[in-house]
Amino acid sequence: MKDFLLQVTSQQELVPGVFSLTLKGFTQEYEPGQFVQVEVAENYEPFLRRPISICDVEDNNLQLVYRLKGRGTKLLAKKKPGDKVRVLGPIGYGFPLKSQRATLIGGGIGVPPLLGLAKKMHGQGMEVTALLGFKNKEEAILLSEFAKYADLQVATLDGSSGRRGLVTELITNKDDLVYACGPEGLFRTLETLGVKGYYSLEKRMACGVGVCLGCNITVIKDEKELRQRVCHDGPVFPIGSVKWGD
Amino acid sequence: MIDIGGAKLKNPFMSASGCFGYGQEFAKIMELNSLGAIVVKGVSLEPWPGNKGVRVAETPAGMLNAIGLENPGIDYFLTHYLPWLNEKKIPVVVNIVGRSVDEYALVAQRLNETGVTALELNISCPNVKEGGIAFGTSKEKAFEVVSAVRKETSLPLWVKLSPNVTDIVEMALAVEEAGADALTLINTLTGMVIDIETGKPLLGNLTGGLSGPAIKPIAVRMIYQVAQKVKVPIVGVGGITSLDDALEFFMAGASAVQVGSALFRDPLLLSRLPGELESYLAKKQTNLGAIIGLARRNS
Repeated sequence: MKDFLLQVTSQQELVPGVFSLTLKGFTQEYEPGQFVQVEVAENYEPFLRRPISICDVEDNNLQLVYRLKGRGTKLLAKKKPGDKVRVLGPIGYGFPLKSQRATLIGGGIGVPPLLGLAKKMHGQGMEVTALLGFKNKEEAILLSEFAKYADLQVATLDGSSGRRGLVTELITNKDDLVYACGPEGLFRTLETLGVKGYYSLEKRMACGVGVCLGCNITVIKDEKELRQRVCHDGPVFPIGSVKWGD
Repeated sequence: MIDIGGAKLKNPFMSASGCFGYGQEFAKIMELNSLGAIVVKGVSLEPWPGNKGVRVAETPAGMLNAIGLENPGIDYFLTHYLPWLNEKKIPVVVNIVGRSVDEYALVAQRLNETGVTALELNISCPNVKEGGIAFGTSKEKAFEVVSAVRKETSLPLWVKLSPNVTDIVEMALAVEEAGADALTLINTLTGMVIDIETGKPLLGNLTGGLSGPAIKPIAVRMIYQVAQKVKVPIVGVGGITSLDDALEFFMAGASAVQVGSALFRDPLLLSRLPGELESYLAKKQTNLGAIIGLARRNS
């Protein structure tokens, strides 16, 4: 982990409200699933950095794909090529690779961190299936990129692209190790289905480095309840280990 | 060397409790030795689970937190964190919390002969019902708990005061009389954020402690007021984000300062401040002692 001052090389609106920001000079190795803390304004308003998952790193170019949500991401979306942005990272523990086959399951803005994962798995000769779910065709992102590294299937709630329904309905092989990122409802469905693997959590954070305890959750490990920090001990946790709503 | 009630620090910049953990996370990105001291997250007699639900919220020029003093307890601190900190040769100030006078006293007792540099009694956390702020808003209770801890320890005893009182000077005098060697001011101010989508308070604890630049003028004012009335040194804290901010605290009467939530945005700030202060003093051809309390002498 290092605090970088990176230069924006591109800023692109992929679909309305979802941006892809590329910053050059990110010289640290990363594991897919890790995230960075991005300073969005040079003054202290807004006060906190924004935690954003790493979509991909190629030749020290860091790609972040984020959704316009509040005043922080609004300021971030205004950054232009040449602007400097302070970025702390990579933070946390990413997805562990443990098998020859894997199913990646992403929902909405949970999709981006799985791209770097698909690329890494493909690079290691793994057989990768990517199941991506979106509200509709207009919100579908990164499809051609995923198609390079994985057998891609898409689901949309309105059926405007791929299969109509939830992304979890695309699961055919429950024996594959699953790597998921998306809303809590998706994670709970995966738990109900009894699949094994990992999910990457999103939680309101302040420090992002494990000191403030703002993002603490309870996880169950070896039948014991443990307090863990999503930022420092995650954001990736084994499917089924999180005690929801605690 | 700076002397804060018997605690010797090589520079006047410290972490604020709860914003630096027990040092291990920040050690990955900076030299802990650059700090005057590390003030660790509040430690209680038994492990505390902290508050449920949302614990942090961003606010204008600051943030609210309602962690609820989640900590692993004094035994775990002594076996898992303190040996590591002692190896780093950095002064360790242990922030201690309790639900009762006895609990505070027992934690203080356990820290005797452990090599720590000072105790910082937290009688001002707004996020726990018993203990914490209950002691920090009544001068009688504050006197009682500080006196009890004083009997158990010969370590430098700092007391962190709450700004959530009508008369900060009255609290400071009570605590000084009870035997405090220094005062830390201020802790966070109680605040609330309402989620307009749900129509409910956002934080699980309903209220939280406000920190960040938003509270800096209040901290400066309280230090200025208290410094005129007490003899013990003051450790200033509350919204410091730069050397200029720290200078205001010194000029108001603080002998040292702590940096808290600014580290969440600028994690390397504490590693830069000592050098920036040295450059400032050299440029102005002055020394820290001449700056401390300058605003009071000038007004």
